[in-house]
Formats: sequence, structure tokens, C-alpha cells
Amino acid sequence: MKSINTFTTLCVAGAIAATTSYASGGSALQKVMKDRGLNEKDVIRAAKTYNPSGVHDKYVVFSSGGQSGQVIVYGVPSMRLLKYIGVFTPEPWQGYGYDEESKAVLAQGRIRGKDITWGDTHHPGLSETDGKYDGKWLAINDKANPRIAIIDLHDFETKQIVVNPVFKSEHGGSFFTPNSEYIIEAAQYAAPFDNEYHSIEDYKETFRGGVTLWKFDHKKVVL
Amino acid sequence: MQDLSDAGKGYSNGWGFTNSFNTEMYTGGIEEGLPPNEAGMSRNDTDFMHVYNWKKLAELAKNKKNYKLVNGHKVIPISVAVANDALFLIPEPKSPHGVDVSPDGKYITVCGKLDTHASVYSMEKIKALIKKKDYLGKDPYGINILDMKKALHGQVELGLGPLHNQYSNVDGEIYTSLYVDSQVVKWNYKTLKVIDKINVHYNIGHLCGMEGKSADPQGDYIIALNKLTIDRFVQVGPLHPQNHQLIDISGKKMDMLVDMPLPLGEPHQAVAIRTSKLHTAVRYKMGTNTKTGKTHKGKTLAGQERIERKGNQVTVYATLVRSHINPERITVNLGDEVTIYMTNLERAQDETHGFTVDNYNVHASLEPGETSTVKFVADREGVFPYYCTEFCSALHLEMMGYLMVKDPNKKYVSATKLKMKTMTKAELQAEYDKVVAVNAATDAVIQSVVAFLKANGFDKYPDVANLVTDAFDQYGQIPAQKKKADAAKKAGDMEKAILFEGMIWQYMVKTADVGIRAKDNLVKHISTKQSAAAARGDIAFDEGGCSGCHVVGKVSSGPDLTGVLGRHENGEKWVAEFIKHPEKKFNEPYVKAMIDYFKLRMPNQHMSDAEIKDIVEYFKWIDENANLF
Repeated sequence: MKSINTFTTLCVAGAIAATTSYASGGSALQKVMKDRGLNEKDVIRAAKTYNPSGVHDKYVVFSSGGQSGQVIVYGVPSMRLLKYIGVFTPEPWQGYGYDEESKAVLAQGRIRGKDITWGDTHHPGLSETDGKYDGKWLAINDKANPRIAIIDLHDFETKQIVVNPVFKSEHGGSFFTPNSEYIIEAAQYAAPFDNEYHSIEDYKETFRGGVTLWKFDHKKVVL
Repeated sequence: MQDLSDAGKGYSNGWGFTNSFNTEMYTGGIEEGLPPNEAGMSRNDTDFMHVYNWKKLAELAKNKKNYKLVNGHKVIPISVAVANDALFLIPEPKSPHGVDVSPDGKYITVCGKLDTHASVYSMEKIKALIKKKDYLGKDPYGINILDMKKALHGQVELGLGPLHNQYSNVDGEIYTSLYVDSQVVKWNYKTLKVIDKINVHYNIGHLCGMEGKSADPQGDYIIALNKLTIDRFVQVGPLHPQNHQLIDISGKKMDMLVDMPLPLGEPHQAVAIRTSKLHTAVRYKMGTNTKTGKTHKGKTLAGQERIERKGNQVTVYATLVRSHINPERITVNLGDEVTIYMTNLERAQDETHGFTVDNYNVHASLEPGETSTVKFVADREGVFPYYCTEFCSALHLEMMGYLMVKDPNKKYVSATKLKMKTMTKAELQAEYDKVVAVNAATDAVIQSVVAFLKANGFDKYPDVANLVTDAFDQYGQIPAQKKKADAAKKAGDMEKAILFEGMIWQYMVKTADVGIRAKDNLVKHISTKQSAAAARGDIAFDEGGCSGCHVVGKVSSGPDLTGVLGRHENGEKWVAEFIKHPEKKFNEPYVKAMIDYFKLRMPNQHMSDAEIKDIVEYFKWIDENANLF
């Protein structure tokens, strides 16, 4: 008789435990929402962007770094930073600009014999196969000093910098053609193509804009 | 002057499109009393979109008579491009910014900052006009102009300051940034209808879709790259971070999900790619110059470390591996030109070593397998520590050495030697025996892990197999050290024998470190899947403090809990009661014996009934996989 009683009690206790667990799960969330002033929409948005530890993002974003002269890498939807890639600017953590191999890359970006140790990165472009991103190369331009850099997505390092020999500034780069045959780079401010002085009065005759097509070897880093 | 560009694709493959501004060719001159550039350069209602055939231009550039060399660079003059039907102009709303080709290449959308409309050009119409040589006229440089009206598919009023466009996976769907309105507008470039608008914070420039400018846009999200942040984040002084905002575009209405501050520079444009399309390496082939991808001339393997001198040129061939830099002392003369080639001998993932020589403004980051060079003139006399700058291991701090720069014209007097207490022969023997015993015990642990890995087919799981390879790389260093230790012992140099035995232990610890990680990963692969309740119980077990005394698979400060449910009559009930109120069972003979043995009493951790239920489920999962612990 006694044992049956105990059995009954346990069953009831189990049922209560299950109910409590459900309610306490709800109230823990409600407490956080109350403490942080969040509404239901906020919680859904948080859940749409939250990555538990070890979970990777669906997309990777390569953003220009503007005046930092770098490329910023972050994940979507978590919007969490993954890396800053040194491109036109020395970056000490990666030793970029502090060991000989990376100094040689930065030296490719010299203009008329002068080091230019900053850049204004504007438009990153991903290499394409049949007009689709193939995840192999990233190109980025420097608006201030007309240059394009190539980053290898195999290791996220800058491998090459090329200087436009005729532009004095640029903007419309770096856009890959559909099978990465060329990278399009358009000038920004019109200026003489040569390196001589020309009067502003001769603007219509000697100041020029242009579009440069850089031949791109999809297999090797040679522009 | 030129602005943004895009390459044609699909239907427009072979063509390029570039916006221009200042077709007025105004040159400013505030200092001479003239109106500023901003007024003179935006006077006309339209500027020109340049439409050019890059395939034709590339062909033209092969023939010398088609180009001029300027600064060694081939420049095709306007006249040649025009004569070969490779360059045309089409009027576009003034001061344009974005020019974006649709995924199929049939439409080109242009936004002018000062016009509230977006203009959608039809590539089919453009091609037809070119074919018929239907031109409106020529510009002063002789470039044929196509009629804007005849080339347009249509225009749509979007709002103030439209700038850039991105596409989604929905046919005809396009997203445009509105700088002045601080909005993203979703519309259809085929039906020319506005669908939805969302506010962004503030003054958006570019926007980034997921592969949104490729032939294969993915939809899902749009990121607004805002120019101003104002009040969005904690104030950090007058210079504000930038604000990238993630917008969910999977529903009918756009939904702003989250803001992200970007604290270094003002990003302009971003591109997004599916993570699954990136295939990055975690290590290089040993001795790679990562900038060229070729084998580095300074590649140095273990045992090849050396210092070479030629006149005042000193070349160091060094290696780095947990936890030492070889060589550990580099002595040079004042004025020597020093080149240090370094190879990171690691193969383990994420085992980067950094390298600097203090006060010499050099730094390298060496990823596994990489060879790099630092170079400097030793122009200051003194002693300069060098060290690994990336925390790499428990003995990272010890991973150092000295650059000693001597003035050859100076005489150095040696300082008096401090007398250190020496150990007796018996003390040395005792220390040696102790070190050897510790090594034997550590090796036994390693062997048990190895046996487990082999018995459970570790090589079927690449992540585990990689770790095992790394572990054996470390373990493989031991015989050479053992040889040295035994030789020293034979020669009666117990001091040295102890140090080499100590080095063996270092390698064993590194082996065990990676080996145990491999074992944990393997268990995850081969164990049965935890039920939701068991997974919750696993967490409750850790968070409730149970794991402070109980280690599954081992007797620790408390008994091993593998099989605990089978140890008692009505095991599940007994365990649940014991967790709930342990004190009620302290007088049961079994519990009493445990308390006597461990000199500890099971504490009441005040676990809830639900947690206890989950922990019992976790114990069931342990019993299912008892052979793995």
C-alpha cells in the first residue's frame, strides 16, 4: 500500500517538475527582456544574428577600410569582425611592412620613387568565373594614389600592388570582368597623363580621364 | 572626370560602363573670385555614361599603331576607340554615382546624386542603336552620343540622393541607397515599381547584398554602409565610428536586424560571398615565402640552423617551434648588416609565432610553415632581447634569445662570476631519477590515448587525423633528445642529462596537449547523439558544479559516475534523490564508505527537479558510450 502511495506521489511530482521547467524557461527570457528593455521583435532579431560559440557565419564580407588603407573582414549575419588585412598601409600584427617580404609588396606601390604608406581603399572586387564569385582573389583600389592591390583568398594576404602609370587619382575600381580576364579601373579627377606641369587653361586639351584594363592572370598573381 | 564603373556580364559581356561628371569641364578658382567647383561642375542637367567594348579595346592594344605610350603605358586615344566602335556616350542624370549591371546583364541602373530618379538603361536598346548607328550627335572630342530616351528602359522616382544598387535572388528586385533620405529602397527595375523603404542611420553610401553584384545574387540580407553614426553608439569623442547595419530582406518588408560599429577608417564599399565558397589554408608548405608562394631562399629545417658571416654581412638561418627560437644567441659587431631568415616549423593549426628584436623596429608574423626575413643594421651597441610575440604555448615566455652587439674597437672586461651553489652527485642522481619517472608516467598517458585513437579508427575523421599528425610531430622529436640525454649521462654530465630529459618532458606535454584534443574530438564523432534532455543535463552537470569533483571516466575527488545508474536498486530514482537531498543518505552504508574514502561529502547543490531529470538523462548517455570515457 505504502509503495503504491509513493509511486503516485512521484508521478505528480514529475508532472509538476515538467510544468515548472517550462514556466521557468519562459520567465528567464522574460527577465532578460525586462532587464534590458527588449521587446519580442528585438529578441527575434537577436536570435537571427546570434552565433553560439563555434558556429560560423553563412557569409563573409570584405569591406574597404577607407583611410586605414586596409580591408576589413567580418561575418554575416553575426556582424562580428574576423580580420583586418594590411594592404596599402603597414600593419604590425601581421608583420606587414616590418619584414622584408611584405616590405617588398609595399614597395611595389611606390609612386615616382616615393613610398606612399597610406591609402584610401574604396571598392573591393571578388574574382569571377562565369560572372559568379569564385572565392579566389580580392582586388581593392586606392583612390588617393591610383593603385590596385590583389589579395589571395587562400591566405588573406596582400600579394601584389600595381600603380596606374598615367592616372593621378582614380575611383571606379576594382571591377572584374565575368571570367576575371581584366580588372577595370576608372580615373577620378582629370589630370595630365604625363608627369609634367600643364596650365589649368589647357584643361580641355591636356587634362584627361580614362579607364584602364588590367590584364589579370587568374592562376598567378601577375597583373 | 570618371566615377564608378561596372563590367557587363551575360547579355552585356564584353562591355564596360563608367559614369562621368563635370562634362561642363569647369575648373573652379575660388581664389580668383570664381564660383567654386561644386557649382560649376553640376551646372548641366546631364553628364555622360561611357559605354565601351573592352574586348575590342584589348584587341586594339595589340597593334602598335592603335596606341601611344605614356610613361611606358599603352594609351588608346579617343579617336581610335571611336573609329573602331569601341566607345559611346549616353546622357545620364547629373553628378551620377552608381552604375550597376543586372545579374543577367540586360539592364544597367544609374543613380544621380542630385536627381530623385533612378535611370534603367536597356542593353538590348543600346546594342540596337549602335548597330543602326543611330546617334544624337558627337561630343567635342568626337565621341558618338546615343539618345538617352531611346536607350532607357525607364526611370523611377525613388527619393532624395539615390547612390548605389544591389540585386537579390528575386527576379527584377533591386535595392538602392538614398543618401539624403537615409533610406534603403526596394523596387523592381523591370516593372519600375517601388516596393518598400526602410530608414537607416544615417546617410547611407554604398550598400552590400549577398553576392549582390554577381550573376548569382543570394538575397537574405542587405548591409547599409552609413556615412554618419551620430547617436547610434556610446560616444567616443568627436570622431565617430562608422555604422554598418544588417537588414533582413527575406520577408515582405525589410527588417533592420543589428548595427555594427567599424572603428578604423571610413569603409566605402563591401562585397559578400558565401563562406562555403572560400577555401583557405591553415598552413603553408614548409619554408614558403607567402608573398610569392615559392620556396623561400632562407628556408631552414631543424638541424640546419646556423649563423654565416661574410665581412660585415651576418646571415642567420633560424627556426621557431614551441617553445624556442634556434639560435638563442646572435652575436654581431657594431655596424654589421644583419639578415635573419626564420622558418616556423609548426604544422599545428593556429600555431603562429611572432618575432621581434627589441628596439630595432622589426616584426614578423610567421604562420605554420612560413619563412620570413627581418633585416637591419646593428647600429647600436648593447644587448637586445628577441622573443616570440604571439602567445604560442605554456612556455611562450621562455621563447626568447639575445642579440648581442659588440663594438670591435672596445675591450670588454668580464664581470666577476657569481658563485652558484652546486648540487651533490646524490642530489643530481635523485633529480634525474625523478625526471625520468615523470617522463615514464607521462608516456604511459600518451600511449593510452594513442591506443584509444587507434582502436576507434581516428584516421576516418580528417580533423582528428590532422591533430594526431601534429601530436606525432612533437612526439617524433623525443628520440633525438633521448640520445643526447643518454650520452650526457654516460659521460657523467648529470646536469645536462637532466636538462635533456626535461626537454623530453616538454615534447611529451605538447604531444599530450594535442593528443587529448584529438581524443575529445574523436569522442564527439563516434558517440551516440545526445538527446535534448541529455545535452541540457551535460550543461547542468558542469554549471551545477558536479564536474568540480566528478570526472567522467576517472576517479577524481569523487567517484567515477560511469555506470552510476546501475549501481543502485531503482538507480534513476536513487540518483535523483541523492542529488536533491544528499544529506538524507549519508548514513546508508555505501555512501558512508564513499565519504570515508574520499574524505568528502556530496554537497547539496540545490539543483531543480528539472535539472536533476536532465542530469539523469546525461548519465544514461554516458552509459551508452561508457567505452569511450
